[in-house]
Amino acid sequence: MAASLSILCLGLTGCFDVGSETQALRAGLVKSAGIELEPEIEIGIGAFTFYLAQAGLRFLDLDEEARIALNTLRSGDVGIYHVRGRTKTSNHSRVLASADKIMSARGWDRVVGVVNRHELVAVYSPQDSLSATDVRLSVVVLQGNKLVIVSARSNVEPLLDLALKQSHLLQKVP
Amino acid sequence: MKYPARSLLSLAALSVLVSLNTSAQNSPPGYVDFGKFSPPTSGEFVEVHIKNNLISMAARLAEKIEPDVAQLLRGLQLVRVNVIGLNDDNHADVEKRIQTIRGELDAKGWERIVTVQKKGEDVSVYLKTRGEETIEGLVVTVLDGKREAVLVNIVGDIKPEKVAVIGEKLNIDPLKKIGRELGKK
Repeated sequence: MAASLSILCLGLTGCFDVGSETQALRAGLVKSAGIELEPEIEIGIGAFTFYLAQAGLRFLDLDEEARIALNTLRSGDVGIYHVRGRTKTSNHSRVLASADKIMSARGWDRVVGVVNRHELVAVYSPQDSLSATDVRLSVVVLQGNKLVIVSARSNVEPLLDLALKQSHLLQKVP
Repeated sequence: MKYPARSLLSLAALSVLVSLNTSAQNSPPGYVDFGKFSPPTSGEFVEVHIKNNLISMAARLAEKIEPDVAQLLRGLQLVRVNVIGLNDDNHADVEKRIQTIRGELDAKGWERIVTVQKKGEDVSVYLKTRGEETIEGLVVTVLDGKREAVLVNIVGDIKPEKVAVIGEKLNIDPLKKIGRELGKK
């Protein structure tokens, strides 16, 4: 009974909480960039929940490609927020600088940053990223009054093998 | 056991010197610090900064699809690209910074292999070589009229004949042209 309850709690925890990077970005941007956020969607799927889902997938009749794609994911979360007030282009610089500071303190580097009149996109990766079997990325997108934070952890090698296999199959098509 | 104050001071001074020397040596020879750029109030801003950990991962992934590209990637340690949209507020400052960077590269013995100034476009390409067969660093600076400035720094062990491939893969026009010329030598 206790074991079942524990598993249920772990599963529920994995289902609803966004990951620590998303939480840190959300809290940090409110504090340091001075923007007000209203959560619209926040969903996190932790490693344990993914493991349970992947175990359950074995009993379903799925396409091999879909199965491989789903099995590569280890964890992921998405936060979508409405930014209160008018967002100006000058906010983008402040948001980017704040996000950089927050992620740098957590040992993540910004790999890509794009800012223009309409949007900001920043992609972060851990400084010690070494393995293609355990890729972690966090993406921040600010467009108009919408802020989206996505973090994911995945093994990309099977996806690459799948892409390679697909490209060989396409070459055979007349 | 007590140590004389003079010995402790000497040890402390030596530690500082060693750490300074170490930090100076941490940057590879082909690396150029462009400094920090802030997004302009209007216009495009793109910054790509990929270090050797991600490049190595990309090389392992590329191995199966394009082994030649994988080999090229394995020789790279860092790729940095900055694209800064220019406006009345930042044009003078960005131009001055680029001239300063160019001056520093000249002073440090980097070889300027291309200088193009035409139709409002100002392009310079610098190489840092090791011997005759290896490029340790490559810097491209572009001032495209009053539209945008572009800075590129690629660090690693680069064969001259592979510069054009890097230009193709990263879509950097000056590198494509130079690479073809270097490949002919």
